[in-house]
Formats: sequence, structure tokens, C-alpha cells
Amino acid sequence: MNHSAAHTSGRSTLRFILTGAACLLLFAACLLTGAVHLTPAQVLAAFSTDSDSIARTIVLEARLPMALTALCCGMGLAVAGLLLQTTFRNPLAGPSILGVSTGASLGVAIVMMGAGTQLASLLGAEAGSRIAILGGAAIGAAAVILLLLLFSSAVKSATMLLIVGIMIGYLASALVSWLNFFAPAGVVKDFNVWGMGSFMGVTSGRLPLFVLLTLLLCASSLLLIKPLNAMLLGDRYAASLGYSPMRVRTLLLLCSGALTALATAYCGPVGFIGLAVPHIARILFSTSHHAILLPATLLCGAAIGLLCALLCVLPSSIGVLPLGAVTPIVGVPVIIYVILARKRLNYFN
Amino acid sequence: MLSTRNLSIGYTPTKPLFHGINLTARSGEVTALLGANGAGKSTLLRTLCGEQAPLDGEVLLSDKPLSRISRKERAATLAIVATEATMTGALTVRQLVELGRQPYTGWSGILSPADREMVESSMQLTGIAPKASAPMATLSDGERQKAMIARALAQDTPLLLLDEPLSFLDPSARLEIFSLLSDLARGKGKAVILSCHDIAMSLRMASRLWLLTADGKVLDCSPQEAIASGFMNRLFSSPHVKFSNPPGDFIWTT
Repeated sequence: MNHSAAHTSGRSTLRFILTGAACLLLFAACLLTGAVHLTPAQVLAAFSTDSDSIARTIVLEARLPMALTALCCGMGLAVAGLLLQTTFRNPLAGPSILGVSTGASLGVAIVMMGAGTQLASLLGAEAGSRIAILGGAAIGAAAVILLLLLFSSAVKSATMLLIVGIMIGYLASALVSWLNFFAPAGVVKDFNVWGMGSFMGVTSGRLPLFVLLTLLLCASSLLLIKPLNAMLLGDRYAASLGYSPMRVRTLLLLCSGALTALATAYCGPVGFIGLAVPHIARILFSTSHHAILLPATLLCGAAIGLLCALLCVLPSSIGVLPLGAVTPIVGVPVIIYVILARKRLNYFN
Repeated sequence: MLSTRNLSIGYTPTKPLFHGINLTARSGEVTALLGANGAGKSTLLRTLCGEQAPLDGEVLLSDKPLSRISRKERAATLAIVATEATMTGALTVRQLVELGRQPYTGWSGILSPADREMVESSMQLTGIAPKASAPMATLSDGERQKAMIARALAQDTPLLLLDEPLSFLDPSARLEIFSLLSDLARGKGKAVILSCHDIAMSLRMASRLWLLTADGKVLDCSPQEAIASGFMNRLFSSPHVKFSNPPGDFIWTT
């Protein structure tokens, strides 16, 4: 390796270490913050068996699951956003903008207000409704991804495709409103609580599957680094390098759709993380080479997820802020900055 | 290196843009594809590199039909420089050129020492090596085109296809790129095909011309033949635009 390349990779290593450290700090802050005041010593003690049972319950049953959920949801949505941005070669693409999250929501709404109850009784209440919700989210996200794929062959302009995605999103949320209108009041309340988005709905019992699936999908996205880089050049170059652009795009969209569906099923619709985090990663690591950008997006996604979780529980004495009230505060300034600074940001040019 | 046999190109089988095309591009030669806007230069190039299926006939790479060549093998035979905008602004020139090695690397895309050697020598040959660590977004149009050519070179193919590589360049950069392509053809024995609007430069610097004429023919000739036999005047349909030699270019006549 020559001098300048070594220099560049050394700089990235330092940035990875700093971002990782930020994740650890935010993770610790999430464990330390909440309605009940716990000292760092009490939190640490909660992890050993012979500890005060209330602190142990708070840390292991509430704060730790919340922090892990936020970390996984942040990673998953951030990677989903990056895959969409590279696939459509549009830096303003994201799972919520393109309607993928709303599609997943529609799937969940159908399950919660309709077919889900029958399915749940068939499979046993708790586990059954979980699987049904996961399935609903996956089918909803997949349907929107399929629509986007169909439109992407007809609509060549990236901006126009973005608008098509926004329209699909509106359509899906209109359908959710219809379902809301006809559903019994009790179910509507459940759905609306889910619809506000939260990192606190994943109990410690359901957590392992969520973490496992997210890690699996994130790890498999690392296998896509090479075709992702080829897609930066566009379809013609990707084809000339031996890829089938359609096949690569389908693969990237499926991975991105699965990550979005997973995060949405467990945390509700979470906006802005998928859109903003890839930009944060590009700006911090100043590259769009996916060998660096993809791991960077994973780490930044974890950090931003944790940051949002922390902001939600910060006004601890009054209550918990809904996630939907926090992610725009973190995400929108990043997007506005990116749009204003696009002439200076290399990756736009 | 590349030839076509009774090739028909276009979008509707009943109305081909051109039919019965028989062309040959040889190793060591620069072939310039000339024609009016909308004549079908891009369509022909897309058909030659397999992005678009021919309506009839065949494209042959080293006498083997393109339709029977696998994607992987094609990537090792034919490299392109296209006009489409890329999203590579935040890649360094070296990272961009490294993408040319993708057909030869494993799933991880990690480069072998031989791959790195090829990347460095491609940047040397095109003269972009001094900018190797610069982000693509900071390059001038001419430098950008050199980096894109270096990427194609790194793909190590006997055939280079360039879609209007001289557009948006000033005359000095155009001369530089064209002579770079001539050097690559002669020095490295590559077959170079480029589409272009600079008639005078093509007549002086290309070894062969492919002319897409206004009356629907595709002519394969040397620049001398093109001038001597009056082929040049068949390129454009305007009665006021006439080829004149000297200056070896089109002039406006009234």
C-alpha cells in the first residue's frame, strides 16, 4: 500500500474509533437516564446477580432493552437508507421518503385491525400476533419496493422517482386512515400507540429475535459492498463491469426493504434516521466508498438511534417523549444542511 | 477485434435506424464514429457493447458472437467511458480507477498487488497519477475524463468504447484526450472506438471513420477515402453545410 492510501485508511480508523466511543458513551447514558434515579454503581451492580431487585428490573427489563432496540433500529434504518440512496443514485432517498416505511405501516395496520386477530388465535396470542405483525410489515414494505422497482424502469429521473415514492407513501397512509375509520376503537388505540414510534415496546423476551435478525441483515449487507460501489457509476458502467444492474438493484432493494420492515414492525414507523444517517457518515468519513461508508453508516446509525432514545427519556420526571417527536429534530437539520452545502459536499457532484 | 455482420439497430424491428451494418474495428487503431445529433451514434455504441439487443445480425468480438459471451467474459473484453453522470464525487481518483478491477476481484473486492500495479500504471498512462488522492469532485472536466479513461484502462480490456469523450472539453483538453487515445491504440495495441462531433480532429487523428450518413447508410472508411470520395457531404442533410478541404472541416455556404 502506498503512502497516501495508508494515510487515508489511518484517518478512517481514528474516525471509526471515535464514532465507536460515541456509541459506547450514548449507550451508557441510556442506561443511566430514566424516571428513577440510579447511580452508575447501581446500574453496574444490576448486571451482577446479587443486586437490589428494583434497580435490576429497571436496568435489565426497561433500559437495556430500550438501548439495544434503539441501537439495532438505528443501524437497520441507516443501512436501509444508504442502500436506497446508492440504488437510486439519489442522496435524498430514504425508507420513509420513498414510502417503504409507510408500506410497512399499512401492512401492520391490516394485521392489527383485520386478519391479525384470526391469525393470532390460530398461532397462540402473543407469539402469533408478533409473527403476524412482522409478516405484515415485510409484505407491506415488499409491495412498495416492488412498485418502486416497476416505476424505476419507466421513470428514469431520480427526482421524479422520489416524488412517485412520496405519492406511494401518501396513498399508503390514506389506506391506513380508512382502516382506522372502520376498525373498533380498542384496536385503533393500539395501532396509534405503535404508530407514534417507540424504542420501548420491545420487551426483553422479544428482544433477542429482533437483535439477531437485524445483525444478520446488517452483516449480509456487508457482502454487497462491491456491487454498491459499482452502482455509484450508474447502470451502464455496472453492466460493463459484468453485473446485471436489474439483479443488483433487486438485491439491494430487498435487503433495504427487509431492514425497514424489521425496524418498523418492532419500533413503529421511524422517520429521518434512514435519510439523515448516511449523510452524517459521508460527512464524517468524507467518502462514498462503501468499504468505509457502509460500516461507518452502521456505527453512526447505532449512535443516532441511541441519541434519539436518550432525548426521548431525558425529560424523565414528566414522561417519555414519543420517538416521532425526536427523530425530526435530529434529522431535519442534517438534511437542510446537506441541501444548502451540496456544492461543497463532494458526494453530490 | 470487433466487427458486425449484417447488423440492424434501432427500437422497432419494422423500422430499424440502420440495417445491414458491416463494420470492423482493429487493434492498434482509433475508430471515430461520426454522425448528426440523433443519427444513432449512441444506439450503435449501446448495441456494440451489448446493452441493447440488435434487431438483426450480429456483433462479433474476436470473431465470437457477443450474444454468446458471458457477462464476466465481456467485462474482460470491453470497457466503456459513458456520458452519464456518476455519483463518484467523493471517491478519490485512485478509488475510481480501482473500480475497473472489479471483474477480477473476489466478493470482497480486495485488490491483489497485481491489481494495484494495474491501477497505478493506468493512472500513469493517462497522466492523472498526480491527482490520485484528489476527490473526483475537485477535478476539471478534462482531468475527470482522464480519470474515467484510466478506470477503463484498469479494466485491462483489448477494446475501449467511448461515448462522446470530448464533449464539454476545451480545444486543448480535446486534443490531449484524442492523442492519449491514439497513444493507447498504438502503444498498447487496443482497439479504440469513440463517438465524437469534432470532425476536423477525427479526420486528422483517427485511423478509421464510421460515418452515419443522413441518408441512412453506415460507411466504414479511412479519413483519406472519406475526403476523396465525397462521403463527408453525406453526414448532414442541411443544404448550407458543406465539407471543404482545406480546411478539412464543414463550412456554411449560402
